[in-house]
Amino acid sequence: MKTNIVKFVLNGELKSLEITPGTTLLEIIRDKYKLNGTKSVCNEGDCGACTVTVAEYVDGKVSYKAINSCLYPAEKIINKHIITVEGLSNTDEYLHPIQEILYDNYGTQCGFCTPGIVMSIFAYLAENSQYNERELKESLNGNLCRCTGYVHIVQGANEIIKHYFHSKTDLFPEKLLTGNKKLVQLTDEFDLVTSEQATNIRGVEGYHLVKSLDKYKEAIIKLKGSGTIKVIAGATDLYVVGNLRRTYFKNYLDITYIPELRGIKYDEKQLIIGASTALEEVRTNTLVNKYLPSLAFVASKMASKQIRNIASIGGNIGNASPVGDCATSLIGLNARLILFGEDGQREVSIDQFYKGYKETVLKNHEFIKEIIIPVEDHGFYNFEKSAKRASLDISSVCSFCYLDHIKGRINVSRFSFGGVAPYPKLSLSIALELRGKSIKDINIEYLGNKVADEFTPISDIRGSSAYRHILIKNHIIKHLEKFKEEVLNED
Amino acid sequence: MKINSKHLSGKLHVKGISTFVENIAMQAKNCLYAYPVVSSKAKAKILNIDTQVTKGNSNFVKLITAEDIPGDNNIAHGNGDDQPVLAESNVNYVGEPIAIVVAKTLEDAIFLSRKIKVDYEELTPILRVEDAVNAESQYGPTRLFQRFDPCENDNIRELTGNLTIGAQEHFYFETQRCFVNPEENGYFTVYSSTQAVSEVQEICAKLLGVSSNYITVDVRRLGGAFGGKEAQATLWAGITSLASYVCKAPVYLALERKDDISWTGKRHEFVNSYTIKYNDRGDLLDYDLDLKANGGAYIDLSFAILERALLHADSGYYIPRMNVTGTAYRTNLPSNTAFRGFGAPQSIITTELALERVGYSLGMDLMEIRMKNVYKVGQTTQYGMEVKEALGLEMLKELEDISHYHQLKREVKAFNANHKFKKKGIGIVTGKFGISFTATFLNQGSALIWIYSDGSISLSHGGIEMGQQLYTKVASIVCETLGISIDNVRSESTNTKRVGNSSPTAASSGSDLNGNAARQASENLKGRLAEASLQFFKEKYNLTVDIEDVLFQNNLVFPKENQEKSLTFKELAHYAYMNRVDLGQHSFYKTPVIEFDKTSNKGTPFYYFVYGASLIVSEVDLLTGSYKFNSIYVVHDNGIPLNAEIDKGQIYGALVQGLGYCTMEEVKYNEKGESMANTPSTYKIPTMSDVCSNFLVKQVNKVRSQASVLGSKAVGEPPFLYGLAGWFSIMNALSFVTKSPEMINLKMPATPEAVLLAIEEIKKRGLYV
Repeated sequence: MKTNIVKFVLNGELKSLEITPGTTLLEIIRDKYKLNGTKSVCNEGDCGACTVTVAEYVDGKVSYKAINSCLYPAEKIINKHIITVEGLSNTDEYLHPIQEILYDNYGTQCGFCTPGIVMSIFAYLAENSQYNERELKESLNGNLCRCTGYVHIVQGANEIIKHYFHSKTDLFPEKLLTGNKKLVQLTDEFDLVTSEQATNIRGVEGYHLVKSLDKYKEAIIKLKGSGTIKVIAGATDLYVVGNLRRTYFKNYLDITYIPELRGIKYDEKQLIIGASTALEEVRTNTLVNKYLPSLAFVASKMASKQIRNIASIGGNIGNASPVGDCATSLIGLNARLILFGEDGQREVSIDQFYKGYKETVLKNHEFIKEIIIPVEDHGFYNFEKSAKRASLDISSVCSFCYLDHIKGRINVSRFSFGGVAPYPKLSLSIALELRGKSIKDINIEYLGNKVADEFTPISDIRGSSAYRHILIKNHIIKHLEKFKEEVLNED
Repeated sequence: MKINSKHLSGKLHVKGISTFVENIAMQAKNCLYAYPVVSSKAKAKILNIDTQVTKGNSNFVKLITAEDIPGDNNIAHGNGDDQPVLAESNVNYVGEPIAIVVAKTLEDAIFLSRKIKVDYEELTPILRVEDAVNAESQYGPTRLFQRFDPCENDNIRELTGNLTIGAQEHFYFETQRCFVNPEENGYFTVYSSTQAVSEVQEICAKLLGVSSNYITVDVRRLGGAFGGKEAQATLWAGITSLASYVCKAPVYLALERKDDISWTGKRHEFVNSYTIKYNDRGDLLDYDLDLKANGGAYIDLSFAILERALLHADSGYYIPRMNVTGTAYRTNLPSNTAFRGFGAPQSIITTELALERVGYSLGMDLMEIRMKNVYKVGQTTQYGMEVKEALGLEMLKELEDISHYHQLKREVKAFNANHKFKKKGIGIVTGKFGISFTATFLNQGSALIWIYSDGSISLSHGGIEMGQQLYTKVASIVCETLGISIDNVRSESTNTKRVGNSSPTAASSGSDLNGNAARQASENLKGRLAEASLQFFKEKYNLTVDIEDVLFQNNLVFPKENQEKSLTFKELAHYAYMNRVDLGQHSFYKTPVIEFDKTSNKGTPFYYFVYGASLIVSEVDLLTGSYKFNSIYVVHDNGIPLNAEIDKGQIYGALVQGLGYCTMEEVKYNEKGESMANTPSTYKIPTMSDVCSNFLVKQVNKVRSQASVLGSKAVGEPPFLYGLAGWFSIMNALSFVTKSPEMINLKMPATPEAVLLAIEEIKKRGLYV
């Protein structure tokens, strides 16, 4: 299938659509199908107004996810069921119970954020079998509202989960169930989706979904010489650049669905995470929560549910942000990366992955395939994040602490920091100071100052150099105070 | 019959099918798209516009410059300043429109507008208030509000201080936008996302060189505004109208989020300084306050905003001697503009700070010192207005009660004694907010009601629906008056053809002005219908009824003593029509009493005050400067609310906006005058997680002597003040780590960075305990 026509289901109806490469799902919904309920507000995945639910047939069942359609490459809708706010009610008079209860609780004022909120609630109800207020709120954190102060929305949302507590009878309107049946029948092979030439001013020529490492190699050979090829997965970072700066690449090569890049395994004291695994999966995965709950915690502090549903853990490393929460933590965790490219596979320690600001050892077209994280028996793990806003914010400074100890006596230690250097970095001074010492004998304040002096953070929009300098020191205090508390509790 | 209707747009909103400007534009055939080419310099001369990039683009239609304007290139609305729609030779802020790209697709318009190259000769911009002061770059003279009542002057103490208050971005969800459709004979219909239809009409007419009746402005609803579309929607409406005029086609313009934040005005940055004198008992005696507002590149509403700031310099307190000065400065930033509270929050937070510092310096309880100083009946304000209803003390007592203040204070103290790296704090704010436009002429409202011969009703008024549910409130007033249920009423869009000369929907005045006009109109119609019913009762039952005894209830009309002889409202409407009764009514309302002399700065600028108080408990992490709010308590005087639950929604929303203002919302410009925090990834507004579940709002619903339509009181802006208690609660938490809490230097907003640096400063000065 060498065409850019994709089949998918939209609000229960089977669709076949020719997609212009470089288009987002939001544009498809609004411009092609004139479904204006889904709003375009920030175009960078930070407000939730464009939230839609994506249903997918995986492993014999339908899964549901809320996503920001503004950052969702349109081609990704192939073989999926896209549900927008218009999909919830059949007629002008009928209100879906979610809509009814939200309305009834005064949960809408100007109405511009409302459809996104409805769809986040819908996705939460659809994807889970049990409900609680905490997870519901977690699902709504990516939906900003400027009018209501949220109280009436929370009140309504809590009432909605009560309504659905015992049964989900009226959650899915008939047309959506029919749509899911059509979804099951959609078996189009992923393949190269390409146009001969750019058809709009953005100048994007091709968006290529590859489903195997071989196809990836094939695509590289085919596309070489036809302009830049940008390897992408979740694209939550890269599509922001397109939306806001109107900076596009000639070709996008989407590696999300390559099986070797997906899933989480535990094997011989190692967690092995496929690089295109979504951050939300890292947050909720049973193995991660069993062996490395601190990593699940890191993921929980990142972005919003909608973003975490798309953004990949590999992307958080590969985009080389100086302040990636996962990247920073994985340095503390002493992770290793399996890289894959045209010339095959190689392994690097994440310590050695970064070369400078936004610079990595990745060669042209090479990508991160897997992340291998050692899991230790006597480990103390802690993550600290300081940002302007408690949730849905990028860190000013983040840090991860790993201490291998026996009854408070420290053997190996690793403290990594994000937001204090051109790329996430390990503190070099502290491990030597701590080695062999018991927590009771440590002058924490002194150590904090020492580590702080190791870095010379810059001032930028997320914080001044002075602020970051104090944060480095105080993060050390926080890590070690928590460690002390844990050790004392064990005693 | 009290009608507590839900949001009349609510069902459409939850389904995502409500009509905004974009929905109207999307239905237009052959619609063109406009996007502005804007200045990339804060101050410069324009040398050349290079349009090479448009060559060969088949979607490009036209580049419009100031030369294409047939009328006045000026959007200033009678405020004595000149602000061009398109810059002619000079630019005065980054984001000032220079030209308009019109293209067949939105994407091409945006792409081309960014690629068109403008050459400049750069000049040195003025960005900060300090620099504007040095350059004497000010709008009009400094204003002075003075009042010297006798007061003691023995053994008085004094504190001086200053506070710079950052700007705030509106972050309405629907960005600035407009769709213009050309009609026959050179007429235009302008669908603008504006709070001020008549202003848009007048300016677009002048711009196109036609009279106002050539321009119809129509607004169904806005996706949020908060003041940001009071004066500032006009520029975009002007640009779109011009493009439609030049291209003779329907044209749509909608700003991208980043451009909207970068190019449009904000809540004014203020640089304030004060000296407060007081006695050992905590009585405030003498207050000197100087306000300096960063007005931006054009005057916009800066005069009025400064005036409201000056009028609220007393916050809720009587201070015998006051000497308040205020100046607005011209700088090279986007013109700062209206935003919920309109200057009042900037002076109120300063005065509350002065009062808190007095309390700290005397070791006094911060609730007690407020109770001691709030206005009492009969006292006058610094502008000579008598306070006829003084509810400050009642509000604070109620607040003390619902928050279990004294117990709470003990708990906070105990928590702080047990936590080395975490401290809790309690912040309190007294709210007293004057209701009425201070530009007296704006205090007028109109409504137009048609009862059709089938009894259904079409309701128009000059107010804008922007989420505050004004349409619901006004429709409820009509229905309550006529004794009918709300589904009989259609709330029409706000349209200059049906209601002309309307004031902006602003200053919390929407329901007072439009509600009163609509109430009068429905009273008049009710009178005529009642009269018609007399004839009906006579004809049908040979019953003579006194007009006073005709009741309108539950969609029925009947004589008081003969309820069974009722007819439906619909039947009566039809009967009246058949008997040639006028079933249409326009009514006009103007707020009584108010007058204000802008030379002496004395008078009665407000019809009444809205009172309230709030208390917020914070928990601050001393190691990171981050914090959370554990509980929020509000007491708010509603009068007899038109719709208590809608008002509650306004209180929640305004408070959270105020909380964002004093904590995380930080507008930043670099030294070139470029906006740095211009997307939601860098400009943070509160999320759901920032709002605690322990959020108690007590609405005091009582008949008040000073109130408006049907005993209600305005609610839009006052609750914004309640959020400021968040800032004081953080300061209060820090007071537990210093022996001199009156010396705490906390920035506004108190971002985690600001909090951590404030702690650091306490340490550096050796005051940390």
